[in-house]
Amino acid sequence: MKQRFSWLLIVVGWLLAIPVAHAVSVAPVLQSREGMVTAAHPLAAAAGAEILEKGGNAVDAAIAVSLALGVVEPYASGLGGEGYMVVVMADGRELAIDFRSTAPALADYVNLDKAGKLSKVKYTPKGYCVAGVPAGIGQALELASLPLSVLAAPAIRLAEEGFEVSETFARVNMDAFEILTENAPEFLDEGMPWMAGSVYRNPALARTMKIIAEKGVDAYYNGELADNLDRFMQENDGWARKSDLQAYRALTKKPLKGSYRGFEISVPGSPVGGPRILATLNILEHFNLAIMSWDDPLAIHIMQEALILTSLDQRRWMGDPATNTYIPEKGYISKDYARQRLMQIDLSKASDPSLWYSQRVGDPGPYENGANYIDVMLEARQKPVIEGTVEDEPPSTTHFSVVDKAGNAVSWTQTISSFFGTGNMVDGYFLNNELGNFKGEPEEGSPINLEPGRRPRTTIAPLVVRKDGRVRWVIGSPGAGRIGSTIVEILVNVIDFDMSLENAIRAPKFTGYDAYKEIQLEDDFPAKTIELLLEMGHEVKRYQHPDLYFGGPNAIEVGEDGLLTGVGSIRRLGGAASPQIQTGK
Amino acid sequence: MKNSIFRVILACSVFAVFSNAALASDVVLTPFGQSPDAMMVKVVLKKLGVDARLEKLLQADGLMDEKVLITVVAGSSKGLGEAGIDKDAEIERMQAVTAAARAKGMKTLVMHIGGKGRRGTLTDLFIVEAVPMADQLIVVEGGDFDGLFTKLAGESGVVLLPANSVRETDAPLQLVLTEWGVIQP
Repeated sequence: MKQRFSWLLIVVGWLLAIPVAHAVSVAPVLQSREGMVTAAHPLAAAAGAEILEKGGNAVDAAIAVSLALGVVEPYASGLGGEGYMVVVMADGRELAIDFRSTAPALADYVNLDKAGKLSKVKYTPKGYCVAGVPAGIGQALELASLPLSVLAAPAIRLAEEGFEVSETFARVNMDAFEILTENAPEFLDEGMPWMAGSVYRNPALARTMKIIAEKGVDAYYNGELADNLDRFMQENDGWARKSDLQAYRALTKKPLKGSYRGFEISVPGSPVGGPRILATLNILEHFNLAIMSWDDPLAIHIMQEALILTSLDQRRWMGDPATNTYIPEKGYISKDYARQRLMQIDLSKASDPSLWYSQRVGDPGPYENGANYIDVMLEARQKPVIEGTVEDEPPSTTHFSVVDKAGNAVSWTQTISSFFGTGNMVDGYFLNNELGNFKGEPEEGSPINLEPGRRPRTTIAPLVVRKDGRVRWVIGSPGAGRIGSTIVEILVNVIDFDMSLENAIRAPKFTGYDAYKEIQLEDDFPAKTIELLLEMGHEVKRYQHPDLYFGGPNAIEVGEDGLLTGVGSIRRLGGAASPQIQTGK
Repeated sequence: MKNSIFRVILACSVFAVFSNAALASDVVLTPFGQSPDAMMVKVVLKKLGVDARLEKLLQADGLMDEKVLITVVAGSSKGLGEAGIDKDAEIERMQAVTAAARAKGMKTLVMHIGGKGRRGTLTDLFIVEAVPMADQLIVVEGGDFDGLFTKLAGESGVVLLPANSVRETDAPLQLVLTEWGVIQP
């Protein structure tokens, strides 16, 4: 009897200890109460859900997704890239981990002058800035509950066993065929682009991830992977050296906070696009958008003009706070500054792009210490106009969102800048070309002049929205200059227009960004909306709907009752995934 | 004796290899819409032994003594921007090049290799212009998903040759270029 009882205990213990089979649900749109992951590729989302299934928390899952995206979307992000994440833990901890890349010590204007134009240099090994993804993972591990070897396993499996090439993969591969033929012919399928439906494997990347899983992320900055990169750079006339890698650090900060109509919004600070999201929403808060609709030309006009104003300010003032002495970020996101800025919007007509840089760049500096807009405006009447200039923006990135059943949330955007970065591959991953986000030529007072150790400015803006302290949405998007407008439009769609998250993402998008002199929009707005926008003086450029150009947001909504709704990027064939069976824990 | 047979076989093999290859100047290749797809066609041609000349902004007076003009149609805003040319100028360029090719007695092959992913407003604009200029047409699966190529080819009396993938355009290319005397049968 005693023996039989012992056997029973063993069997029960075994059943409790061993996780049930790792089945996960994957779909473009999904609902669950067990946790949710959304990413630009269903396999990457599934990798995160697999970790949730194993009992990992949202940060564990996010690390697994980050690595898996580097395998299934090698053109958009990976170990050779960088990014930013906002983490909101259910116990109240909040972190913004800055794993942006830094310019190597040899990257200065003297050397750039010898190398040629930045627009060309960025497609050579010189375009690489020291990658932050491994260090970002390292920082995130402090909030994780499972070892890196477990978190890396799904990505390693995908790299070794291979996966079916998606339409998106095939398309971006075709677009980059020339640079890949020149820089990374080993990536191609016997000299040709990978076609949808074929199976892509990356054993070199699997080996690299095994090294990192076994030895830790320091292997990238200080070990054999650093040696390999150093050798590649020296042999191919690049600038990064092992000493640059050794000097790199990811930075853990507090998220920047703002609000919109009673919702609390946590974003990453400068040098990325988080402050601009807050600055734009501060302006929009003064308009009663809720009585309009997503296709109302007046709503579009107001949002576009607000986005232009904030992008002009971002370009002039925002940059790496660690290497710039003056970044007026507090003023830029102050509610009072927004009041001054909204006065610039003419409700009846579009602003003139030829005057944007000479007459519409603001000065958030006086608002740094919480000044009142009336005082600032009266005092500033005689101040000279400040000009800004435009530079190219990178076209690609990837974003993913995770919420676990405990309520921990991760909003993580990572990138290698252009699709395929420099086009060069080392140890199975592509090198970012973030160097292209610096000024091609020095400009006095610019916060993005090229400087060794500086982080370039980009538009990424992973964010978490809460109401009364509870997470409601986790949102972010790729899309370069479209990131800010796409995220603001999604927020306005869910908050003002009361759309479901799916409809908010699916709804046609338009741009508001100073690099584009016209409103670029997806072609499903009513004809009369477009006619009135033209009448107001906007130039309109149409794209098919949906178009990847407008970004690929992957977002999660947490319902009032705790139900999680994940929406994978409709424009990038992304997916949502959730654990199917509980671990029994 | 054995040695002589070996020499004959070797000579025949060498002749066979070289007779199958085209002269470097037989084919000139240009994108219509400035997408990078023409580069892929160049790779396929190379595998067929045809060393084509690729000119992204080929002009009418840039035609040499080639037998065949291949235009690879697909619009790319990025490509047009990098080339410093707009869609109207691109259409004018191709009209001039094709007219000059026809005047020189050259054959024109139009190809669309990007499938459904390479269709859209901009590309369709170029397709409508390109197909009537063609003597033959090769379209990779998916590119004709809505029957646009079939319709235009029918209206212009152009034969449409389908291919399953870019890689598999080698068969119709071999067929067409053999017929046009670029590849020796």
